[in-house]
Amino acid sequence: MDNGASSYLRFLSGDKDGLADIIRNYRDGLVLYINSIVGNIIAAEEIMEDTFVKLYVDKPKFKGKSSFKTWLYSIARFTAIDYIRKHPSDLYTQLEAASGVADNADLEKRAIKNEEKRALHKALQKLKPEYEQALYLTYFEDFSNRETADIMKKTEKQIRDLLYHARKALKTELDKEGFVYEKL
Amino acid sequence: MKSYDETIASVIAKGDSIIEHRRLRAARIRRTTAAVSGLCAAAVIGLGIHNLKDVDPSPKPFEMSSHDIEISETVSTEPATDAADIVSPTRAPEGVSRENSHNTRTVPGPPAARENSTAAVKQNDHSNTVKPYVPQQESADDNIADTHSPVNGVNAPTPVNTMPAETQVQVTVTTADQNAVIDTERRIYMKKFTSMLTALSLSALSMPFTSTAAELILPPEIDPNNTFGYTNHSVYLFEDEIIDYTKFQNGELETDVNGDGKFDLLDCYEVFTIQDEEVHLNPDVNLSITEDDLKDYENLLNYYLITHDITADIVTPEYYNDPYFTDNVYVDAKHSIWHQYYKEDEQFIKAMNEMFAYRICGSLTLLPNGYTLFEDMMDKGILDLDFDSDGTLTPADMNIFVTYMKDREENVDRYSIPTYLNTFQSYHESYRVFTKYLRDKINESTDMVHVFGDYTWAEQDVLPEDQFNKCTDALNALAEYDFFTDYRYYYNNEPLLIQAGLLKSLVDSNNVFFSDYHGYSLGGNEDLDSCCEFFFPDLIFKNMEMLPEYSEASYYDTILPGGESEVTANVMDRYSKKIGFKELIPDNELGSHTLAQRAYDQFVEDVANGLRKAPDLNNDGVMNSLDLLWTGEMYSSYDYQEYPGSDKTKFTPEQWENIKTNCDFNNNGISGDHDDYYIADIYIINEFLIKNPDDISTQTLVSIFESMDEEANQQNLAIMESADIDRSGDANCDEETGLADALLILQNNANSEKYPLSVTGNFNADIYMTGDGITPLDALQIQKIDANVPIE
Repeated sequence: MDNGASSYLRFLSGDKDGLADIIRNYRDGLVLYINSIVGNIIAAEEIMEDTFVKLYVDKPKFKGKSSFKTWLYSIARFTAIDYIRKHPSDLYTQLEAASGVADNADLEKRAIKNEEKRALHKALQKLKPEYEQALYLTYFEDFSNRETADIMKKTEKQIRDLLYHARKALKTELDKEGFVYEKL
Repeated sequence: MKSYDETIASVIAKGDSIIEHRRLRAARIRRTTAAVSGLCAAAVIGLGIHNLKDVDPSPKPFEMSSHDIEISETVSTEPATDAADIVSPTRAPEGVSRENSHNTRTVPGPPAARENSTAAVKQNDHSNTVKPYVPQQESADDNIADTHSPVNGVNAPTPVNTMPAETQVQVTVTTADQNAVIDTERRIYMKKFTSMLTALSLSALSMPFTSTAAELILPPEIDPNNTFGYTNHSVYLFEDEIIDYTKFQNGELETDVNGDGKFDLLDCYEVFTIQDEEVHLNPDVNLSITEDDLKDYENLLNYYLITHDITADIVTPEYYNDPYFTDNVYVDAKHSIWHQYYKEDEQFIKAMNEMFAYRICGSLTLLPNGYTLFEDMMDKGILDLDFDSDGTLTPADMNIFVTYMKDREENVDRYSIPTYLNTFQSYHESYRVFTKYLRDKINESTDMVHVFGDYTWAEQDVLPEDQFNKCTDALNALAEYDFFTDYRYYYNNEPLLIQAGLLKSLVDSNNVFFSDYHGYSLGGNEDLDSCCEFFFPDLIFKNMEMLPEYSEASYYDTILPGGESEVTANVMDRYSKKIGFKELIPDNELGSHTLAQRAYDQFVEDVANGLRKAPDLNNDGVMNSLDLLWTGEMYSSYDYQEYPGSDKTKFTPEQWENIKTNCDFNNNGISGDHDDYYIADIYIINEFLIKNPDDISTQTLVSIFESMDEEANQQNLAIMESADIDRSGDANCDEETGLADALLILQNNANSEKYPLSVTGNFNADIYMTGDGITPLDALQIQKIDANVPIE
């Protein structure tokens, strides 16, 4: 599997269906990841769209230095940060409204099949966002430490440290809930 | 949540909308620059025509001779009305008291303040430290259009005045020898016609620009077509901001908010306090600006900052602790915001003052003249960026600083925002605590690195100790002024951003988070602050010339082995591309000793010495007038590659390769960019078209222009019709006058579609009663000449 690189090349050569395939493959995972950054499922959905709009409009080069998925998640992260800077008050308002809870649960159910992982995901959301992001990328998206570092623009060492602390925090959180997750 | 298909449709719809917007923008830029080019070309050609008078005193066949011909030429022009509108500064002069609902207010306060308020032009103690912005005042009857063109800040010599409709040319030719006239007249005519037609055709392109620019009335410094905002700075101004600035500039929004007769920081400070919800939502408070207008005033501070040089003191919170500010901010004579709400809460006032100062700092990282703060700090000895201690700022200093910053990035970890911040519900409270937390952290150590956590520096082996220490000093100095707070926050991006809800007002104040955003948005390095990206290069190249080698890593490798050569070179590369060299020109005035002019002169010299090739844009092996047809495409194609998806170049792959490799006429390392376009355009006109009017390529170009632009042809014809020049009768333009011409005229009268006259032929044919059009009497006149019948 090329993780979507061939679809993207197809899109670059003029086939819009290539982009449609990428959207179908990555949309849900991206929304959850972005949600871990912005903490708002409505905004996350909008940012997900903006991410794909960037691909559609700017057609950035995918040089193959990382996997396509890593590259895509990096773009999503930048887009999310851009969004927060441009719409801080919107985000706050939406956060207050908390109207995306149902959406979030629905999406979570669709994207994360394993019930145990869903419980884990819920616990993740109670952690510091940085922990949440690092754990989400490694546990749910199966990114390697290197790839996670690329996406989060940190060094591999920083990711290792971050994951160490994040796991400890998650374990504490799960203990509170009475869960035991063997991989921690 | 949307279905997949809905998401896909939404993405494509949004994308198409953006692409269309960019396409329109690119088209606008093309029109604008083409207009400038046209104007420049017109000026160059005009100069060429003028120089023809002194070409060679000795009479030669087919050459103009000053012995035989006297030419008196009068060009009377009137500025295009709308063009004058574009650049006319309609902003009311500062210091003019407004006459609106606020003028009933009195401004009590300290005696000094009241004293100052009586004289609009007199500065108060504080504003003495701020150099007031002095707009380029031009009197109403000044012909503004002939001195400034708002396009890219380029001063175009006699620009829109060459608009065909407003131009009248009077030419009188007196001949000593009738036979010589027939030959020489054609020659003169050809020169004039070729030059004029080209100039007018190019100038005609300025019309779209005129209508576009007329949408906004802007001062020369703020140009919607110039995304750099300032002519010699590299930071973007965003469109929304520009619109707001324009309202202040043209008086649509009152800048003298407090009605004391002048626009100064006190007005900005008042707006800042009014923006506090507790104030503007309180029905008992009479606001000096309405709540509806409040949003429009968000950019008042930025407007102040871009129109004034910045001094180091105004970015310190202590500056605003002065009673001048706290006592003079009134909502009306009786209701001082501060008296009413916060006078008793000194701590709160202090916090507000800090926020105001920080907002200024934050804004400056984004504004074109933010670097003036750095300048002032350097002047006052607060900041020293001369890291290699050679007495001057050079790219080498920046390389040292970049190396320092990158090294720091590799060796520090982020620290966590204390979780107790989450417990604060009031943003004022959380802001105060947060600010104190950061400041305490800074004060704990003289070394900034400790702010970031428990990590210490890795062994520093790249920079010499003195340079390393100077970098640390500079960083600390900048941090004191809250530059690099964004850099600090960058390390805490995620924690802070997530808590944006709780600290939303901190974010609202725009004083954090812009650093890597800015870099990323501009395709820059997200890890470098705007200081490195913009202000440092601005300071460096204020006094020295940008050279291509500064964008090469190898240049820095030799200076500082092991340093961050690639990063520095990349920053320089982006900077030079963004400013396109011409942005460094002090006044952007073509024709003076500017970088662009020097680049052009150098190119001409190099070509003359055989060191470089003349522009061959169509890649046909020679430079001739036909290359002019491709200059516009060269300009557009550069945009196309900058804005993928907007359009495709019309060059063939071979031609495009030629543009990308052989057309770096200004030697800036980028072949085929907009500066190369300017040079090519002027060079081809100057060095070929004017000098070779009879060349087949020039003739072809003329005929192409004839067929391309009917409207321009009509205008040209009208101009020439009004000229007092004896006509030759050469209707078919075969350089002979005879029965064939008479026949063509009669045929044309009978059926003009079947027997068209060229513009030149039409001009020549009106030999009888010149100015009354082409009639059979013209044909009769030609027959008389042919038959040597005396003419009355």
